[in-house]
Amino acid sequence: METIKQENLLSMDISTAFTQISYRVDGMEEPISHEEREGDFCIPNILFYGEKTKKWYAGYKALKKQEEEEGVLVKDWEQMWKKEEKVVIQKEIYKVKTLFVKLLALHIKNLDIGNQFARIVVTSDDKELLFEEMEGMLKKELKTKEFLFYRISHKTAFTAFALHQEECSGVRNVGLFEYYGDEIRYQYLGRTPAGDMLQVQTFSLSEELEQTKGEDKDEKFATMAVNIFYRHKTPIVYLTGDGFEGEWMEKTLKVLCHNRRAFVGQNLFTKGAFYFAVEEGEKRNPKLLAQGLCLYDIGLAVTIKGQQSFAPVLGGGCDWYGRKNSAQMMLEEGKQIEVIYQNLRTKELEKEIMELHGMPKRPPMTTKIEMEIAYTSDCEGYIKIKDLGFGELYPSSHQIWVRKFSLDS
Amino acid sequence: MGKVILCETKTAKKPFCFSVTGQNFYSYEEFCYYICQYPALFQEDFVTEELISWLAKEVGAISLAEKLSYLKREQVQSRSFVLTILEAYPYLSAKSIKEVIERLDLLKLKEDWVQKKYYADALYRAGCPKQAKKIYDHLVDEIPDTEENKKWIGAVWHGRGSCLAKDMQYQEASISFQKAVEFGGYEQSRKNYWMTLYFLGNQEAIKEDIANANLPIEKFSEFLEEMERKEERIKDYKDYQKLERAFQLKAQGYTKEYHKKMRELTTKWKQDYRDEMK
Repeated sequence: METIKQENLLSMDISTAFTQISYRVDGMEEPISHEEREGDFCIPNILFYGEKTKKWYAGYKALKKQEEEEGVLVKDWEQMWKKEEKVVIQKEIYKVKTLFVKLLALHIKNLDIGNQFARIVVTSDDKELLFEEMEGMLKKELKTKEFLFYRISHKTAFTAFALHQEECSGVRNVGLFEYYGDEIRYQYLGRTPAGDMLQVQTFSLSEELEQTKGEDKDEKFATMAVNIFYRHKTPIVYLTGDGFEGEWMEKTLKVLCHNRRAFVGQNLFTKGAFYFAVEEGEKRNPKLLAQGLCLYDIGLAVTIKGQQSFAPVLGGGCDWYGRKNSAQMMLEEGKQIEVIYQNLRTKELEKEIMELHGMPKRPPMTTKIEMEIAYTSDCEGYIKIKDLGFGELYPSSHQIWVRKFSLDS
Repeated sequence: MGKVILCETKTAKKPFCFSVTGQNFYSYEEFCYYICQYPALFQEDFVTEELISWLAKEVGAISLAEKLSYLKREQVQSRSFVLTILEAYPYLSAKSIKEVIERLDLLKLKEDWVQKKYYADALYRAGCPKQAKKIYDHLVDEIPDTEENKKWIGAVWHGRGSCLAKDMQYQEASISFQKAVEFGGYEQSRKNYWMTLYFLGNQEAIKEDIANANLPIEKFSEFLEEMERKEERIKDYKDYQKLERAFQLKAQGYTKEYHKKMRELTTKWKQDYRDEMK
C-alpha cells in the first residue's frame, strides 16, 4: 500500500507573556501540543543571555540559567513593545522585535525537532505581535528559508480549529467563550445570511457579566450564558482562558451542557493555527468574514470571450497580514483602468478610475501592465501598476503608478 | 474605458528567438501579436522544439505546448498551428483570429511567386531588408513577364529598391525604383526614385525624369520643399538631438563630455547595425 508522506508543520500562539506550540514531524500521525510541564501548554516568554556561556536561553531554561550565572534577562515584552525600547546586551543594541523573534526561534529549537518545516503558522490576538518582518527574521534565526510562513488572527485560528473537529461536522454554529483576567468575550461562528461564507461575530461580555444579577460569579455567568445562548444558539461551545480555571463552575456547567456539548481547553488557538497549516493556507481554507479581517475582493473589470466581468486580483475574507498578490494584463487602449472593490458582505461593487498619466502611446493591445495589490491593514492598502511594455516590440517605460486605498471596515 | 485582458500566462525570463527575423519574444501575447502583424511569415512549419519548450517552461503555457507537440507529430498544416496558438489564451478577439486565418488561407491559394512576394514584404516590414532583398532578387527573374504581371513585377522592384535604400545603397536603389516605375507606374515608386537621386546629389536627373514623364516642372520645386520639411523633421529625432548637444559641448570646451556623448552614440549605432545584420 502506498504511504503518503506527512509534511512537517508547526504552529505558534503568541502573546507577550506566553507562547504555545503545536507541531507534527516525521512519523507522527497526530499533532502534538507541546507541554512545557504536564498539563501546561504555555511556555513563558523569557529570554536570558548568559555572560559566562555567551549563549541565549528561552522559557524555563532561561529562568534556570539565570540562577546559575550572570547575564541579562528579558521578559517585560509588553512594556518594551509600547516604548519601542532597544536593549543593549554585551555592547550590542537589539530591537525588541529582533529579540522577540530570537525568543520564538529558541522555543522551536528547544523542542529538538529540527528546522525542516513545510509551513509555520503564527497566531495571536495582538496584531502588533504579528509584524511583517517576523518571517524574514525567523527564517534567519532558524537558518532555513524552506518553509511557508503565515500570520493569522485568533478568529481565523478558531475557525480552522472548529472546521477540523469531528463534533463540529454538520453543525451550523459554534460558540467560543474566551476568558482572560477580567476580559470575557463570546465568538460565534456560523454562516453568513446568504449562506455562502463563514463569519465570526465577536461580543464583549465583560460589562454584561458585571451587570448580570447573581450571588456569585458562577450564578452570574450561568445567567449570562442562558441569555447568550438564547440570542446565539449553538449545539457546541468551547471555553478557553485562565478565567475558567479553578472549581468555580457549577451552575455554569449545567447551562453550558444543557442540550449542547461543551469543551474546555487552553490550546485551542495553537491547534487551530496548526489545522490552518494543514490546509495549505488559502487554498482550501474558506472565506471568513469577521471584524479585523479583509472584507473586500479587489480587482478590475476584464474582458473574457468578449464579455465584461470582474476579476479579483486580491481576495478578501481572510487575514490581511502579508496579503499581497499581483497579476499581469493587457490594455487594449486608453490610459486608465477601473479598479473594483467588492464588499463580500453586501456584494456591492465600488468602482474607482485609476489614471495612468504618462503611459506611452502604443498600438492597441501592446501595453502589458502588472497590477500589484496589497493590504497594509484590514481596511487599507495600495495598488501598484507597473508598465511592462511589450517585450522588444514596444519596450517598457519603467513607470510605476501607486494609489493607496481605504475601505469601510 | 478600454478593454483589459487578464494574462493567463507569465512573462518569460529567457526570450524565444524567431529565427526567420531574429525577433525575441518574452510573452505569449507578443508572439500572437507578431503572427497577426506578419501572417505571411508563418506560412511554413514554424513550430520548433525550442518554441514548444519555451512555451511550456518559460511562459507556463503547458496545455498549448502539449497541443503543439501533438499537432507536430500529426504533421498538420501551419494554419492549424496558428489557429491553435491564437485560440489558446484570451488575447485576440475571435474576429481578429478569423481575419488572420482568412489571410493565410487566401495566401495558400495564390501562386508560389505571389506567396514569396508577400513573404518578402513581411520580412521588410519586420525589419529584415537584407533577407527580403534576397527574395526580391529571385522574384524579378521568377515572375513571368506578361502584361497582367507587370504591376506585380513593378511592386517587386519597388520592394527591392526599398531594401537597398534602407541599407543606404542609393545608387542601386535608384535603379530598382526606376524599374518599378517602368513596370508598375506607381506614383510612390517615382517619389522614392527621386529621393534616392536627391540623396545621391543628382538633382539634374530628377529634372530629367520629370521632363521625360511629361510632368509639370513645378513638381521639382514641390519635391525639394517636401525634402526640406523631412530634413527639418529629422531634427526631432533623439539621436540627432544628442549629436547636436555633443557638438554644443565641444564648442563650449567640454571635450571630455563631448567624447563621452559621441562614444555613447557610436556604441548605439554599432549595436543597431549588428542587430540589423543578424
